[in-house]
Amino acid sequence: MNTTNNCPQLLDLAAEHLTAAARHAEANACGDLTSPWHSLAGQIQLTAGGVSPVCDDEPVAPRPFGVQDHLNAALTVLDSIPSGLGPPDIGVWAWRVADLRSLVTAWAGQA
Amino acid sequence: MTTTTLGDLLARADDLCRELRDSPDPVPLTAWESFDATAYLLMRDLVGPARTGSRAFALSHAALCRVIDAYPAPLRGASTGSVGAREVAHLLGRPRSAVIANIRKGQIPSTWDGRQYLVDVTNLPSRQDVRPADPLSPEPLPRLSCTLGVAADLMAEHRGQVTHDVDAGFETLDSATAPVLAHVLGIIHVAASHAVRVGPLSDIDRPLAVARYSATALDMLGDVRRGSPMLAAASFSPPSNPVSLNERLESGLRQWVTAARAELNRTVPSTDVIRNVMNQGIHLYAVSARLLEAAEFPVEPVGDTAAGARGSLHAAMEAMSQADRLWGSVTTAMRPSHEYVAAARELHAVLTDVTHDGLHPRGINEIAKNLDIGQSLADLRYAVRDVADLVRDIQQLPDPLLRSGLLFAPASKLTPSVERLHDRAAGRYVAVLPVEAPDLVTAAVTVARGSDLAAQALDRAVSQAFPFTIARRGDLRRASVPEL
Repeated sequence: MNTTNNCPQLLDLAAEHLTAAARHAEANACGDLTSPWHSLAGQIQLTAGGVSPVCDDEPVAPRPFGVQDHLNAALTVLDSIPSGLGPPDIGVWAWRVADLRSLVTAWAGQA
Repeated sequence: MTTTTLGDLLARADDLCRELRDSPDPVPLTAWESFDATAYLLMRDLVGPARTGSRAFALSHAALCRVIDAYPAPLRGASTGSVGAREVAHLLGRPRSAVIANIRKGQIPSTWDGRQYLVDVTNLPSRQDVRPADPLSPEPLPRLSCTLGVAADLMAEHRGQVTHDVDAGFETLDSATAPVLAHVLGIIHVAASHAVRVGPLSDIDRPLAVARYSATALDMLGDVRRGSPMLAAASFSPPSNPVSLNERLESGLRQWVTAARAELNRTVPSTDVIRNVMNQGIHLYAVSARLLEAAEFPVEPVGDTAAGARGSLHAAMEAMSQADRLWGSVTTAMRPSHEYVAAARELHAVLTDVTHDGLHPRGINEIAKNLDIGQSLADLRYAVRDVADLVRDIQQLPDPLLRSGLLFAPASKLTPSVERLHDRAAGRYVAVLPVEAPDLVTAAVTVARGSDLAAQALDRAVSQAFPFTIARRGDLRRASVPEL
């Protein structure tokens, strides 16, 4: 497998997962603009734009556990890019995804 | 709160003028010269450089420039920047023709910008012995000098934003400047007259000249209107190590606004940032509406105003949500900066903490326990105004981006055409044509109007609910009737 050539596709895949996570968060808000889920969706979408500003917006295969599941998937994809082959700031974006995931995990614990 | 407006500073200067008026102590020459130089600097920063444009615009600005140019040979000009030959002549107290002759002979270093000579003020001789006033002095005149100095710094630092804000309204910049300039001239006249009255006699020549000048200048300005949007120009100094929720909120808001401005000033901004500005705007409005609701409990109900403000905030939220969705259908293919993402994340965290414990909404009593609601609303009021500015900037973006072919969308989502056949098949992004995004332009206008109305409504509601927290001191003074 040529990982160098796959890198942009992996970034796109991570961004697609993040976009899907944002959609799930939006759905959790149930149309309530004052819901924390709505603002979280904005943060996830912003991070998706940082990972790949041009990603296919066709939805990836939906995952059963919604936001957290897609954030996990995005993080797994980002972590699978070998060091030195991705953009130099990929670690920062991965850290941001992990930060959002920990927030969602904390919220899930409350529910 | 660590927010100061130009109006606050002038109100403080008025207080110091009253203190000065009752002081019998003679004014030392050094203290006077510090005040003299600082007051001139503030006037220059208020009026700004000479401008051109339409004839009416140039004439209205020239009227203010004439007032500045009539100042008795200034002791010091600005410490940095470039000035034209006319101002050099004024600063040196020499005829303009003599200055231009010196420039042509190379005796005064200058550059030619195609219209006029520009001279770096650091190349001009100036009185180095005129120092800024001592901020620790207990005397009223040095304190007055320091207050005017802070006002000059505020104007110099935020001039672009102030110009932007005033131009965006329905008032010319010069008509907004004239009342403030008249106020400053009044302060100068009081200080100069006081210096003449208390002496010493050997040092009153300069204050006398400035007192005569300020009286004439006030007459030159004529009957200016009261109040000015310029007085709301604010300087922020959020805590560097925020601890309490109020401090975190203030710091988070300021950092985010600064980062958002920087992002939107990029030649081609990221659409993800634009979407996030809408998202954060919605969050800000939601928190403001909730705090307004909470504010009605501890203080007297403010009735219809607060309810009206909440209505305006909710209407703006809907418009922003619509704009967010539309911006999500296109991209400029630009990444958001790390600075912006970090600031947005911090603001999201603190705004959520204000009204929610995780996912659970906090009760009003709990909010009031954790937070000084009046202070928070004062901070949010400025931020909501900043959001209106950001949205107004965003309103200008769709047209140039579309005409430049810098907004992209998947070919499969756009009007099919022969040219796009291959791109559709390959799943590529292509430039969106202006006719393909009319909704984006309309939504940008709607959201700009909605956010302006929301900012005005919140301003009114917060001013009524918390007059003693946020009102300018000048307003309070006019509102109170002294007992006789």
